Amino acid sequence: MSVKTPNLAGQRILIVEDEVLLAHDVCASVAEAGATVTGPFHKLEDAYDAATDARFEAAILDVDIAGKLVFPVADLLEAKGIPFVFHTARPESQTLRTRYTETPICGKPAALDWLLRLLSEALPRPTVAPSKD
Amino acid sequence: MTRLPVFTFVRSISLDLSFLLVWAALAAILLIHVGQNFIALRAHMEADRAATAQLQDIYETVNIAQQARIARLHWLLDPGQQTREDLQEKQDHYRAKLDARRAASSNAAPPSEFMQNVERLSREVMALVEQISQIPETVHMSLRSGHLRLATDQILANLEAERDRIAHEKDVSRADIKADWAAMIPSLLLLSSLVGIMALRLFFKFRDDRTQAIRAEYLEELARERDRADILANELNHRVKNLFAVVSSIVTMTARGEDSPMLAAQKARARINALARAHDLSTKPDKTMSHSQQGVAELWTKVVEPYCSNEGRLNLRGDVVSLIPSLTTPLGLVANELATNALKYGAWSGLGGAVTIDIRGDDQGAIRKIVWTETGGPDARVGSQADPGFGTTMMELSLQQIGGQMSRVWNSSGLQVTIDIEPLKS
Repeated sequence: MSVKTPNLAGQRILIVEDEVLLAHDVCASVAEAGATVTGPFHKLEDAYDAATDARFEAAILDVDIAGKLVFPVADLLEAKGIPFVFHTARPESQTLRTRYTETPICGKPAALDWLLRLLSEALPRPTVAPSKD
Repeated sequence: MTRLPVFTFVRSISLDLSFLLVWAALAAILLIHVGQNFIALRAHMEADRAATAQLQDIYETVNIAQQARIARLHWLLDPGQQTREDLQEKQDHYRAKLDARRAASSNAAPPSEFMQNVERLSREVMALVEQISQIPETVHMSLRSGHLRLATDQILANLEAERDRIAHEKDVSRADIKADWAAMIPSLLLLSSLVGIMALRLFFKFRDDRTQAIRAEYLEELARERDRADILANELNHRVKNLFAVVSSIVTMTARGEDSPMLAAQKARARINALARAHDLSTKPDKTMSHSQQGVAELWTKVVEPYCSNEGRLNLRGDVVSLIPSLTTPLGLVANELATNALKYGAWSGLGGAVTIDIRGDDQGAIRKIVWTETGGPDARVGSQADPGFGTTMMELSLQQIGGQMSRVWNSSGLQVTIDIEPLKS
């Protein structure tokens, strides 16, 4: 049942999450996995600025940021070729499924291990063997 | 009333073009028929009226002729001066009547053949009367009598012939009038039922249209309500999931800060229970799901009350400030931490201490400041300066969520916590 916490050592991860407590928890988990956190960002505008700078290898995006949708940030990341994972309470959203067909979606509430695993799978790993199974 | 078969039938007629054309054609035919009959009827009634007037004229003339005859008999019996004067009087009277009739008829039209006839006859009567009065007394009575009788009888016979002719005419026009009515009544009945059907059909159409409109409005309203309910359900679902995510984080983070699993479980449980009490308020059915009827004061009371042994040890004061949903979780968590600490180290740890919560809002009724003041407990300067665990972090994070900042002062009388909250940016 329990999933092994993936190793994210050396990676920088952008975290966008408007629920501060949750953001804190996600940040702690990401840090435990060995990665450096960029953020967390609670406002869409701040997240967009950070995405423009793009000093990170991957991102975890909440979809509804205090009433605003995260899609501008997602589009920007997609354009830059940076992998990301949606972390949302509305994983069944049609927009997500049709507009971001390749992007992994993690429904809230989720075990953060699972979130990190999705994230690590989204990261390009040219040096690691393709699959465990 | 709509159950009567006639009404059901009329209602089932569709008001399309073919029906309207057939209706209009039938109505036009019937209207023309009625119109023609009506014109004929008027002509025949006019003829009848004329005949009646003519008959009256004849009767008057006959009357005068008869009087002339009676006068003649009088004169024959007594050819004296008195009789002559009577006759003269009657003569004048008749002339006046004749003049009046001529005046009346000459206004309208040239005298008809009939009038000319009557006038001629009247003149003959007059002449006769004149003639009688001129006959000398010496002429033999029987001769005078015979001559005059012949003349008057002739005139009367002429008049009667004329009367019969006109009476016949009148009979004919009476029959015509009857025939006109007989021909017109079925058409009139048909026409009026045609109009009645149309009126009834239009009435039903009007009524059905109204019913339809009301129904459509109702359905639209229903659809709107359903949409709203869907949105609310969706929103509630989102909120619940978010809340579960926050609860999961609280459990994880509480566990991170504690060595003993038992203690971690107790703390996590206390926090989750506090959140449940806080959400008791915000999840009450509230139509707009924005501004709840419940205020910030109720939230604090609900969360804090279980930690306080009796009512006198908790005082609330300040403004009435409405609780918006986004405040529930953060304020609930902060209130829980403060109450937990008061029970462990502060005013509620001993017997006599009390806590005062002062809540301040702005002009718009939005929360701006909360002051938590403990009194009567142990000297706060001596005790633990701050809970070093996750509790403090959680309070700070929660306040960050709602744009708040916390400052703590440890007085000899107890801890005082001041929370300042920025106004919501719209």
